[in-house]
Amino acid sequence: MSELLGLAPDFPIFYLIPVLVFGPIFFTILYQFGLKDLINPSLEDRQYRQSLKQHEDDLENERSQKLTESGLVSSGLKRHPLQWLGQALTYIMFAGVIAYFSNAPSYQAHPPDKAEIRLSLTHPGRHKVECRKRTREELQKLSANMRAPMSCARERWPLVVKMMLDGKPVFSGSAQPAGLSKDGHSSFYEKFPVSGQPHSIQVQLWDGPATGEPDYVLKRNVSLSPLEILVIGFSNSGQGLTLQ
Amino acid sequence: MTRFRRSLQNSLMYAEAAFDRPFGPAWNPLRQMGTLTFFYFWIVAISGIYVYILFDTTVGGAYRSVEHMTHQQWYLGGVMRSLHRYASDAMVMSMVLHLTREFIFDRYRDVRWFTWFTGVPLIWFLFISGVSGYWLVWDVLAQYVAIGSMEWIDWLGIFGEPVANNFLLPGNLTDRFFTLMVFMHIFAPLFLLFIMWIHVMRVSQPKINPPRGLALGSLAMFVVLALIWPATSQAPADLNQVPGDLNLDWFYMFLYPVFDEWGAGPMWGLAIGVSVMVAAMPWMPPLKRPKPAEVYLDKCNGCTRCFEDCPFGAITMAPRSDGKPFEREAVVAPDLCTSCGICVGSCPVSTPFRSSEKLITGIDLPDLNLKNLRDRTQHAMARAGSDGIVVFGCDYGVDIKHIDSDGVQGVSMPCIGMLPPSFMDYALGKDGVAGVLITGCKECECFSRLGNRWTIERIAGVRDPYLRKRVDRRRLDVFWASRIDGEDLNAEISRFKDNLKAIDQGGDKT
Repeated sequence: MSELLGLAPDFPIFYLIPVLVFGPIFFTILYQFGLKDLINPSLEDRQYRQSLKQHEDDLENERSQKLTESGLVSSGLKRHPLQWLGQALTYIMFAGVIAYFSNAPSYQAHPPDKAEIRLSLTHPGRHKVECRKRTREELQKLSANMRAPMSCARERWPLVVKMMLDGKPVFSGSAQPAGLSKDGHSSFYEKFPVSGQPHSIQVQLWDGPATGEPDYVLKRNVSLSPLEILVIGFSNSGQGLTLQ
Repeated sequence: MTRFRRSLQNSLMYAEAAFDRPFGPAWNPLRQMGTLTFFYFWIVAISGIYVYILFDTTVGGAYRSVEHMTHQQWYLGGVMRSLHRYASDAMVMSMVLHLTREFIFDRYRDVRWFTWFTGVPLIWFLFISGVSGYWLVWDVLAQYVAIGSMEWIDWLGIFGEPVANNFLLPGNLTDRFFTLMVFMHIFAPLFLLFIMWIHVMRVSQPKINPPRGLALGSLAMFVVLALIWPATSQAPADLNQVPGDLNLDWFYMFLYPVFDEWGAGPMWGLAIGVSVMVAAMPWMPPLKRPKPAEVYLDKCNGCTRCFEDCPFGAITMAPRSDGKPFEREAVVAPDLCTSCGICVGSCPVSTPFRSSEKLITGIDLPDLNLKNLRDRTQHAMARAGSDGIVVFGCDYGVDIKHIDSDGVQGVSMPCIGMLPPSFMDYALGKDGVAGVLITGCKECECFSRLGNRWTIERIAGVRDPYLRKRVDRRRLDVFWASRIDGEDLNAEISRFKDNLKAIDQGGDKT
């Protein structure tokens, strides 16, 4: 069936079911609401349209004839053979420019002998102010549907990340939490082209105040082949910093 | 700036003259860049619908389905895919040439600001449409372009999480996200079409279709190109590897290497800066134009001819306000009027034969009114003499003020469409000159869009006001010439003079 329709052999043929079911219904509705007049008009309509068209054609023919007789307009197709040749050459030139620049010259988007490390992690920082339990008085001041036992400020700490490659610092930065109240996730997206050989990687992440020891650390030795991508990410399900 | 622009105009006129030789003015592709862009859009749309029927919208199936249509069904699917790509590339080319040409010929300021201004979002939507199409092939080029585009958008920080993360690892890219990309490629061209409509909506009688010969020629070119050099995919995308050596489509992707070099921030600066600058160009500086046309109700009978002939839709017909027994009256919108004078030429009251001291017509230009035009015509007739020739021309075509020929006098006006046919009759009438030569911007090149077309139709008697039948057509010559065609005009004048001599001697030379 797919072959018959000129589709790929594994084309999911059931995709066509909605078309087959709703197509005729849709067509019937369109047919009743105007399409009928277009493809199968009444005899009266047909005659009226024909006479209108005849009148328009007569006017247009008269107009064209007068213009041609005036000798003021050139006929479209009267050309010298050399002009046709000139046109063909112009089209060839135009086609050549399009064909060439749609594919060439080639571009080296990434050095062929280098791999790439991508630091791409998304993680919410800790709340700037720790949650605390509301007192009974505080709860009573709130309306009944707002009496959440814990009071939490929305703002979170920005994430701070430091990355070392082969013992040398290659990146240090902080990312603000998303949202107007700074209560969303913080994200990093950085790319580092590296030579395709063994490397030692160390990544430190602070998700609270960036003082003292980092909250997460990743140390790993990796060996990368040219053009390979290594992703340093963050698993919010407990694994912390990850390599993929 | 004026001198710089004039030198650009002259260069472009020479290029157009070169293309005129094989194509003729009407089929000259350089004069049809706007209509060709519309035509290419339709090729892209129709071929795109066919390609979409064979396209598998899943991440796993997209590349396979495109390969299948390219190789297994090369005779139709492959051709359609190639048409889709090459016509969209040609669209970029024709669009750039179109806007460059309009800039060079100074057709973007004053009342034309709207068309120019709405062209800026068109550029954006054309690029969004084209680039999003490349994503769907899902080869290494798609991978490079998709990731680059997302990284560029991510710089704005409008999404909570980088969108580029969808392309981080093979498992990250879902069919759902891929379908979203497909929808983007469908909706961006729809918006493009919508803005194309807005782009021409303030133009009266817009020309959106190229001449049939040029359209067929272009289509044949694409089909032959698709058969000889079909569009193909590159290696399938692999999110475990960085795309290295790529064959970019430079029409759409010329900025990606710049992005790699500069980064997202400067690229946004460049894109927004250039867009704002281009959009503001109509006011840098604004065009100083003469006063707009004025309606003289005493002489206006609401015949609608000026309304039908105005190339910029500056005239509307409103209910009569002066109590005269006519249904309607012409009303000029000053902010849309270019003062080309075509309305003056179309008004049936615009005739030089009336002897009244103050010659008033139904609609007139305050800075060059009909009386002034008649005075200049009379002056030219007197200087040319009864054996001479009066040349009526326009300020944007060949310069007729310095015609190097005895007994030939020029009368120039903002547009040749301003000349009522009765002036030709007048100049050739009793006590008139031997011949009248009409000139103006080159065919399909009228600065006021429709001036030379209306003039031809009036002379041929197919458009009101007609040139009277009594006028001896042998004594009337029409020769369209641009500024660089001064020598050709002199040659035409000599030929016309010989012709007139032959007529006077009783023969007829052609």
